[in-house]
Amino acid sequence: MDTTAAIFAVAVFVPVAASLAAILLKPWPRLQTALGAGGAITGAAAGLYCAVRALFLPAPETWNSPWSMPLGSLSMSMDALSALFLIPLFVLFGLGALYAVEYLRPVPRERNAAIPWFYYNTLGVSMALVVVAANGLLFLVAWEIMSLSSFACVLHNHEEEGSREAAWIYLIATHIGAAFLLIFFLVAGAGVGSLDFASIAHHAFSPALRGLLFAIGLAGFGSKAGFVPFHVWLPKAHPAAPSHVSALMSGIMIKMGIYGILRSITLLGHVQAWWGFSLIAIGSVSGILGVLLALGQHDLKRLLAYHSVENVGIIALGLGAGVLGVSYGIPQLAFLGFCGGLLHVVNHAFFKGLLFLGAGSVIHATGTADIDALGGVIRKMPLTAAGFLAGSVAICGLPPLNGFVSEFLVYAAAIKGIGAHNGPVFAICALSIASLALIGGLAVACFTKAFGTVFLGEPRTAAAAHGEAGPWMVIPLFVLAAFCGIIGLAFWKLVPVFAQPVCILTSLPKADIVSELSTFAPSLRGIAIGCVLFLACTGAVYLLRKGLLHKRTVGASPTWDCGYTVPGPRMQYTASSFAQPIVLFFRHVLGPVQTKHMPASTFPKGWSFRSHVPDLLLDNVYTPVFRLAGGMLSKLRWLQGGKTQAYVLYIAMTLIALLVWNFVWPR
Amino acid sequence: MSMLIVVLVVSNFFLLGTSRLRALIRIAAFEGLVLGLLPFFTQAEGFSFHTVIIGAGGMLLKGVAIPLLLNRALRGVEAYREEKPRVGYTTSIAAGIAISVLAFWIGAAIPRSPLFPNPQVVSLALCLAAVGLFLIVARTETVSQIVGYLMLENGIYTFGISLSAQQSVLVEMGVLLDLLVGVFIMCIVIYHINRQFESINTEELEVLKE
Repeated sequence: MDTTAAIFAVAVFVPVAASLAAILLKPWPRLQTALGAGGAITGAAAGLYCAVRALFLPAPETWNSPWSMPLGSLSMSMDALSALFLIPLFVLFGLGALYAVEYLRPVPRERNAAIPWFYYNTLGVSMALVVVAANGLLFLVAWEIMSLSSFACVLHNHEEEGSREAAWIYLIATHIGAAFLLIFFLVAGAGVGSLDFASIAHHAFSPALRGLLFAIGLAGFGSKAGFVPFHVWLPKAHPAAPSHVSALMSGIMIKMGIYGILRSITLLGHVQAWWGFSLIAIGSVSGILGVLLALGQHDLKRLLAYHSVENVGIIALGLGAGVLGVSYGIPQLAFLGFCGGLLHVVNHAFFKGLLFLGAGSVIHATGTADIDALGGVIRKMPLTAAGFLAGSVAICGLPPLNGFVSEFLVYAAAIKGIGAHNGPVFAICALSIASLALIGGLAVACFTKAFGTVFLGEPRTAAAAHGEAGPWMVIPLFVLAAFCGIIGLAFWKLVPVFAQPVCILTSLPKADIVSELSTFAPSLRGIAIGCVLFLACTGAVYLLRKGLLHKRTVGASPTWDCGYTVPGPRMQYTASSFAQPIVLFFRHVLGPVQTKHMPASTFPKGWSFRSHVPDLLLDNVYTPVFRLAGGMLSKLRWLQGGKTQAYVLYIAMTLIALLVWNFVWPR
Repeated sequence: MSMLIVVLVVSNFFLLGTSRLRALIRIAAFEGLVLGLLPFFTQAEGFSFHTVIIGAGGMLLKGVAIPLLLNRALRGVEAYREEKPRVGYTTSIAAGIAISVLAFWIGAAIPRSPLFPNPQVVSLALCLAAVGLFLIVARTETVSQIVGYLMLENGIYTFGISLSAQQSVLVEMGVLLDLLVGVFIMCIVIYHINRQFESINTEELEVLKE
């Protein structure tokens, strides 16, 4: 026990300490990078050891120490549920650090090379603390460190106006969420008299209070997870951050919201059916809107950010099915739903990390994230393209990669729900299946568009013709792709790993879970074998072709050019033209904006076409509301007179008012 | 212990009634020294390593280091007295009396519990903090405001030592705030070296408003 605690302490302190020390070594940027990355990788390795160990422990490992903060205690606990979140966290944290060694080069002379490392390492460590915290106050402190360090990471390119705007939107969104969490813990702790998770879990809340707490928690954690309508910060913040940070934020940080929802389910005790219904409803809306908005994007990283909204939607569909299963006493529904949701958490971390890192390599090499400015990148960057392709296959939920398995389990859960002879469950599970099908199809369309436009065809601009990324940036892609492959092909071997966390969530016997999940083993194995055979056949055909062409001359000529005299790369399908049919089909939901100047006369001088899919929620709801609030609050400007004395007077008056209030109406 | 509390409350009135800045610093230093004695009486453990550190550390910082720094900051400056206080000295003393009465009334109303073994010390803490806030609001010279801040922070320190020993985070926070005062003073010193403005009146800061 003590050695594990010590190793976990290494995982927490070494990354922060190393990067903090590196800040002092400004004259030696290489040493700074080595310290920052070395610290992160050491911490990740140590953390990974603890997490893997905890995954198989029947009882959580706890570590307690008094803390001289009122209501706080330094109590941490690592159970299988935490471990399941910690493993992808540390994997992605370490690989992201490896990747950033090259990605962050060259460092501008006036910048301190260690500062991005400090924020990155703090972000990684604070998320690990969020997952192991077993006290409300400690949890909130870790949560706040996580929010602030990621805010600083988003501000990496603070010279750019767009970057600053994104960071502000993110800061406001995350603090609105944190306000809900503060209320959540205060209300939960008020009845219990302690903020320790152990005491909250033992407390019997009244059903009404439990429902209220879940709703507050759903709003607070949901804003971090990026559920619609709280998703607006995601498509701003992810593109603004450096790619290794985007990978960590999208792969792991938004999962902290999911972790929070799961942890509050375990803390609140008996689940209520409406929690499951609302999770599935939110999941459907987030999934479909996320993928539709992704289809309309031209910025590669913003597209990926909207896919994160889609994927948390899929996770919510799984978890919602799990909650329904527990509340209606349908064990198979509970197992499959929770297992599918949890597996998708892990899967999304791997393939979205892979995609963001791959996109980062492309952006690093070409200097642009505009999909319509790229093209033909596969010829210059074949390894990056291979990695990105693997990620695309995985995120679309296609076999043999991991996205398929988790979506398969979520489908299986919904099908179990349909067969459960329960009206409302039938209806919501049918909705879940319909949304999943729609999401899956649209995701394939979206990634065909993204991969096809960026990597295939001819370079659209000069920027698109650049060489392959270095080994530091390629190796993490392949490691992540390997994880996607392993989970995809051998999930039936990994079932026991997921049994323990599902057991924590459902409080049902572990043996049942394993046996239930194992019933899917033959079909999953069959699909895996089929895929491997298919890939083997494809390889064989390729080798056969190569062999047949061995001693002949093979010429390469341009594609048939339809008889155009001057065919150029601009004649290719663009990202928006590829997506146009779908975007127009959903125009009432998406509200695409087209600005066009069509050729008018016989010899037109110039014409242009531009299409853009705005985030309607941001433009039509949040912006007007915040502008209205800003207008109303500006009437209070007289309070800010510039006199420090007056400001202190306000504080003093507030304190006295609180004191008097407390004594006039004592509790 | 009651003796110390009385001495501190009375010296508060001097603090509120004086316009000379050097006197203000001197009284603050005296209060700091007296405050350093308080932990030996309030803490159940009496003369332990912890109390000696808290007490001696408090004395050294509040009674010696910060007054010295403040005096240095005043050196070479024309400001000897508060020129235009926002609240007059008689009114200030009247307010001080009101503050003390209120503080001791609240102290008396605090229910007996193991967390607050010494309700009078809590009253003293409230009294010091309120006088500090009052000084910040009512005076305009930077030095008076720093002394006000020092008083506020003395209140927090006193509140920390009024609690049972485990809750030492407040005391530690108090020491940290002391360091912050030190930084404030250093800022004035630098401010004077720069001589951007002709006086050290905080009203000048108004130009910084948005």
